[in-house]
Amino acid sequence: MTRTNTSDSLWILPADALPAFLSALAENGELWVPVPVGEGARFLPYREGLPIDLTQTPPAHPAKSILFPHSEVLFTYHRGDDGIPALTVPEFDSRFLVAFGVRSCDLHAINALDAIFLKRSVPDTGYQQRRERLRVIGIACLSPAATCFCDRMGGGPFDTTGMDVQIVPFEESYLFRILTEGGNQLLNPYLDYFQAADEGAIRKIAALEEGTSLQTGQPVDFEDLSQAIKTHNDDPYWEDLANACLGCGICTFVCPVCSCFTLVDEGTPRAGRRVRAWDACMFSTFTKEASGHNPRGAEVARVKQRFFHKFYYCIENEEPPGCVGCGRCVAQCPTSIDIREVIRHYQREGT
Amino acid sequence: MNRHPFLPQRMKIARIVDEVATHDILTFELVPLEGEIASYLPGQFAEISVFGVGEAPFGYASSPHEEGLVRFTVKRMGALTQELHRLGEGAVVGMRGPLGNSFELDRFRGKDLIVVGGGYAFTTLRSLIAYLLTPEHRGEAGRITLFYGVRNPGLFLYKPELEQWRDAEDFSLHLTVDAADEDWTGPVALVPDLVKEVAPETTNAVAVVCGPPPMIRFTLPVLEELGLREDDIFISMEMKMKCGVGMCGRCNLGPKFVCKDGPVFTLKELRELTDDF
Repeated sequence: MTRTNTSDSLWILPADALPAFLSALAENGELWVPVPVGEGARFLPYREGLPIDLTQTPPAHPAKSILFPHSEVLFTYHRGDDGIPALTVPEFDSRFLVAFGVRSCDLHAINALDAIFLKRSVPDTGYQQRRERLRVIGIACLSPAATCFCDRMGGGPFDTTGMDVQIVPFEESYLFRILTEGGNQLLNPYLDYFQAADEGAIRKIAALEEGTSLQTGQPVDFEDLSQAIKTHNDDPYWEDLANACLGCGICTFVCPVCSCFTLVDEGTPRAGRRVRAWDACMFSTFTKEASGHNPRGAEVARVKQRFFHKFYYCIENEEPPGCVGCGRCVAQCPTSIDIREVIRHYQREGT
Repeated sequence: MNRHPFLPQRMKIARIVDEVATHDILTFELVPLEGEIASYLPGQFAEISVFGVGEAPFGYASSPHEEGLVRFTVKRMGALTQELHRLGEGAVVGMRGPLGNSFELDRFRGKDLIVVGGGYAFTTLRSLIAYLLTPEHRGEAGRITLFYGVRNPGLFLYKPELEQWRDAEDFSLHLTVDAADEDWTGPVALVPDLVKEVAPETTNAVAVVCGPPPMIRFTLPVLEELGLREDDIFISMEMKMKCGVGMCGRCNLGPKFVCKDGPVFTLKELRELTDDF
């Protein structure tokens, strides 16, 4: 955990100056902010007048959509009179991409997404260009939810991993803590909107940080958990979970790490596009072959796939674990399947 | 234009061969509309696109020594293959490949090779055998014993080539059917039973198996009884795939992806990955 200290570059933005600052920032790049939608909040491209929710902890929808959009056009095809399809790849934006108000859990998830989209085999070009343009203005979590358990998964409410700037809500203002040179370059043109933080403000924020604790348990020993799950392939416990599961896939869509996708063509034989869209290992059609054969046709096979992938396959492949403790799947599962219970079930006593 | 791993190369269908009596298996010979054919090895696969329908993976049926073209043999099965079969010579499709590992040709060097294939999955074995039978690669393996079974004689793929292989040196061909017709003079036997009966020498051999799951399941114990170690038996696997590069999440067997870490695995590896072997 990074503690506030006076060597950081600290700036105060009055809450009522936030819209003007964001509007100015959005003129020079792509800016994503958490926006209230229904009862949840989701990350959307900023535009003036859009309401922003910096209180929901964490936002109901994960920030992965900024780097891994729910649907993304990979290329378009168009057949001319000669019948030969011409393929066109959409132009990439070259400006910076700012993720504003993202929390520690979603930033730890980016490490896992990097492992999948950049390191696992060939780099995914769309993800890579967004990742390279990404600057993060993260936010500290002053009121973690009852379902949060990032403290067991390597994160924490004030953790700054992956942030260029961290903001801390503070009275009627926000403290901006510049953490990287990228963050410095990002904010530098806009310092007119800010006031330098004085000693009193710094002391109050240090007290806020001291007072915010999340103590849901010991950090998870992933090697241990991985071995325990690997050796319990036939555990009746999986059947219990499968019996509860509706196969709705919500756990995967709200997960900041889950990144299964499908590729689909939209259009006519003459013109259309190939789209990458989110998919879910919890759907029975996910692995169903043209012959009708389905290696994960049974609910229990899919439930196992979800947890085995997160806690065993990732570790076995030396990738970050597939869970960051955001608790969204816990909060949103219609039948209350609780990933914390799965961890507890396979953590050896005393860990 | 930005190239990315999901952008296919455009390929023209130069020739279509109707392979079997039931007319539901066609071989498509593809030539590039632009660029070169990326070099590949037997056992690898490519994603073939019909624009407006989608993509599906197929093992290369051609061998790398056949320059300037690639071949894929496709059975009419689902939405994509249905549309592919409707296309004529001259039509343009997409190709992303090569993908996946290949047969470990280094492991075959100086070894006798027992090849066991069944049904339509024979395509990738054709690539391997055609490659090893070329003069410049023939020295890479010793004696080749091929077992190839189909339901009835009308279903053999690549019939003219099979006839040529009969005369190849250090090569024995064992074709078998589940049910004969009046012209069939060969054995009527299931593939595993024929392998057991012929009992090829295994002291300095490796085996390659590709076919329908039941054929694989019953052939493996026969090969092990004949003395092959699980590390010397290579199996080409199939799973539903989309991306072909280990990202989309479908084709994993335990922690390994069939598309990226396979499709060729040793029996030893497969036993560590799943309970199915």
